[in-house]
Parts: sequence; C-alpha cells; structure tokens
Amino acid sequence: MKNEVYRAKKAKTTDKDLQFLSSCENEDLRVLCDILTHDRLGNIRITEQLTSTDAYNRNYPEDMLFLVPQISNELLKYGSNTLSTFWKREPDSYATVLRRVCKQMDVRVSDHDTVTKMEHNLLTTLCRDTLNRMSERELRLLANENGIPDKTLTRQALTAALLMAVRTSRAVLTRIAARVIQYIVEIITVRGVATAGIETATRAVGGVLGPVGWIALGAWTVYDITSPAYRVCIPAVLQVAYMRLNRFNGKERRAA
Amino acid sequence: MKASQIMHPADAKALQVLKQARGFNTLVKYFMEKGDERIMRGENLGTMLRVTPDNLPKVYTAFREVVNRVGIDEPELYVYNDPVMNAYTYGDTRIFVALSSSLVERLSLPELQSVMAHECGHILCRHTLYKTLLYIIEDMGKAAQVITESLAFPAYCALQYWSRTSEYSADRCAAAVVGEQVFQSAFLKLTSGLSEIQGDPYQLVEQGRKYNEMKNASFLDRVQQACREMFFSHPQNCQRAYEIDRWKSSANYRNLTKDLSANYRNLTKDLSTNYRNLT
Repeated sequence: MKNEVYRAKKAKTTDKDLQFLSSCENEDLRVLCDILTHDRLGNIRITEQLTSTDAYNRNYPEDMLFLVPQISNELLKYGSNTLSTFWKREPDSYATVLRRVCKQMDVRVSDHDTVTKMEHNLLTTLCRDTLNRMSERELRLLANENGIPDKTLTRQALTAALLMAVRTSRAVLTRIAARVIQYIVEIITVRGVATAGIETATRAVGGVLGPVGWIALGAWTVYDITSPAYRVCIPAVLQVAYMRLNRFNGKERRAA
Repeated sequence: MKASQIMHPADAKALQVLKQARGFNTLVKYFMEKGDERIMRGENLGTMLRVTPDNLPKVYTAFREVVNRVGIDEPELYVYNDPVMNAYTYGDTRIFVALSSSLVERLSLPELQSVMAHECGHILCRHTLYKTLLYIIEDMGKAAQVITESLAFPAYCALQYWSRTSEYSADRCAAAVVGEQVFQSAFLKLTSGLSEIQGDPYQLVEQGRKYNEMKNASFLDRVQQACREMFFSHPQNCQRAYEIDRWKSSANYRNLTKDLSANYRNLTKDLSTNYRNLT
C-alpha cells in the first residue's frame, strides 16, 4: 500500500524543467503527445503507456493541459533506462535526458550548461545541419521570409547569413526551427530505423557463438531495449525545446 | 467507422506484432478460406436457423442496421438452439455471426444490437484471422502434439492475453453503436443470465472498480488474480463494463456517437420503409 501511495505521489510530480509545459498551447502539447504515443506511420508505439490512462481518455485531444504530468513522465521514461527507472522508482531528470540526447546528436554540451543553453545549442546545431542540406531555392525562400536580402548572395553566403541570424536572433531561430522541426524529426526517425537494423544484424551473429555468446548477447539485447529510446525521445526533446523557445518569444513580444 | 477509432491500445499493439508474421497470416487465411470457413458454413446451414427478413424480421432489420452503422459487408446471421446466452463470429472472406436462441429471447432489441455490434467489431478489426492462429497453436500443443505444450505455452498465453484485449475493442464497437448505457444493461443480463435486473445499470462498473481495488491491494493478490485470468480468452465481465465506462469520456466515443446518431436517424427512416415494404 505504501508503494502505491509513493507511486501516486511521484506520478503527480512534474520535472521542474518541464513545468513550463502547463502554459503551452494545446496544439503543441498534442503534437508532443502524438510523438510519444504514435510512430510516423500513425501506428501506436508498443512500449507507450499513455493511451491507456484515464487522463488520456478524458483529455485527449481537447484539454491537453490536464495531461502535462503524464506527458512529462512518459517523456522522461523514454529518455531513461527502464531497469534504472525500475530500481530508482523514478525516471531521470529532464536535464539528464536532454544531455543524453545532445551527446547522441553530437551537440557540444558541458556538465554546467543550463537546460535552456543545451536546448539552444541543440536547436542551433540541428538548424545548421538542415540549412546545409537545403537547396538554393529553399534557402532563398527562407532568407526572404526572415528579411535577409538574397539577390546578390551566393549559396554559401546565404547559408552563412542565415546561420548568423539563427545564432543572434531568437525570433529567427524560432521561425527556422518551426519550419525545420518536422524535417529533422523525419530524418531522425529514418536514421533510427537504419541503426536498429544494423544492430539486429550484428546480434544475429550471436547465433553461432554457442551458449556463452547467447547469454552475452541476450544481456546486451536486454540492456539495449531498456536503454533510452532515442527514436522517440529525440523528436520529443526537440519539440519541447521548440515549445520553450516559442514561449520565451511570446513573452518577449508581450513585454515589448 | 474505422477500426482505429475503436481499437483498445493493448489490442492495437498486439495486432501490430501479429501482423508482422505476414507469410504465416497468408497461409492461415488460405486454410481458413479452403477449410474452416466452408466446413463451418456447412455446419451452420445444417444445424442452425439462418435469419432472413421473413422468419425473424425484427432481428434481421436490427442486424442490418448494426452492419450499416459499423460499415462492413453484411455477414450471414444464424440463430442456434442454446440456453446459454452467447454469440460468436468466424471467417475472413465468408463471414458469419451466430446468436444463441436465449439471447434473442431474453434481450431487448437494442441490447441484442449491442451483442451484434460486438461481433461486428471483431469483424471490423479482423480479429478472427488472428484468433485462428491461437487455435492452431492450441491444437498443435494439446491435440496434435506437434509441438510440446511447454513450448507452445508462452505463445499460447501471449495470444490469450491478446484475445482478452481484442474483446475490449469489440466492446467499444458495441458501445459506439448502441450507446454505453444500452451496452451496460445488456452486459448485466449477459453476466447474470437473467432477463430482468433491478437497480443501477452501472452496478457492474462499480463491481469492476471494487475488483480492481481488491486486485491491486497487495502483490499476492495481483499474482493470484493474474494467474487465474491467464488462461481466459475473455476478460472478466466487471472489467469489461469498467473499461467501457472509462472509454465513454474519450473523444473517440464522443465523435463516434455524434456521427452515428446522425446516421442512425437516416437509417431508421430507410429501414422502417424497407420493413413496411417487406411486410
């Protein structure tokens, strides 16, 4: 009974870095929730635990604010190792999950960086990568949208100008992040699938290693499937980062 | 109605896994079409009464209404002689629904529609194909001894778990077609076997709440109840009532009943005209 009370209390707790979600738009929260519960083909995720809750039944998709504790908890569970969550009886903090995602995405972060700084670095790096992949026509369109004169600039100069705008202006970063976030999520999902395929193939080699090899590979597989589910938590963290950025911009606009 | 609108999350997840066995599914479908479906049709025609607009006009009209509301091709409908209230469906290409005679006698027409809609829910989600897999594994283990029971056991338990979750999806279809209150009233009668019950129509929901409290009271209770339920193909009746009570607050239920109530008015008009013409 004590355990039940303890778990109920934990379920209500929201990570301090995710508390801002309570003041976000319903539509943004719905997107975040969909990332956690469904894959890009619209199939329900096998490991998700959100859709069978009473809160989801009652509030999805109109009153997403009431689902914020459950969404935060689900995101943190995806970002943490299941065995460690089971042992500690709580998932890792959002800061830890974010740091893990940054490392996975080769974004430079230090142990002393704040959540806002890490998210900013993550979005800037991803925007840079995306800008480098865009065609000249797409770059010119984007430059036009953000008030950068594009007529005389070459492709390289356009990319540099947009990158500078991303680094110096939060408003430009938000606008570009909004346009590229869907693109990025798509790339990550495809890459995730490819990596999983390679891992499965490597693991199949275990079949010829004998019983000791099977045990070792079994343990590896268990660790792997209980490790942070990057295919879900990377797009989810990106969405959170974008939502926080968007909210700060909204606040600044109101203050101005 | 779309299967995704009524599917219970646990059912949807299990079906995703089952759908990955594509070759095996095709094989099972082929054997169903060439074997079981034909054999069972012979059995149905031989031993049951096929429902037509002439012999049981009200039952037939009610069935047509349900089929139209669910949006599936009309299966053959049979009534068989049995004092136990029960119904079942089978087939993937040539599908039928069979109702026991006691169902037709003891349930009101909307309640009977609830049972029909439950079976149509199974058809919509194509549960029968995958349930055949369950029977094959069971037969291979128990009857044919092709694979030992200890080897078949984990797969059998997993499929039984899915079978239980698939019932929740079919229940949702029933609730969406006739409304959750009629579903609860039909379920009270199905649970008790009685034709009339006094009191709150949600008494089974309350019982489900108490059952869950009792089950989650301690680790021992959880294990004991899980072991008891492990071999069941259907969930506990009180849990089914409780699940529908939870689902009734969802957006899917609201949308489905909103759409269906508009369709229902048109269909009732059409069906009453058809019924007048028939009689």
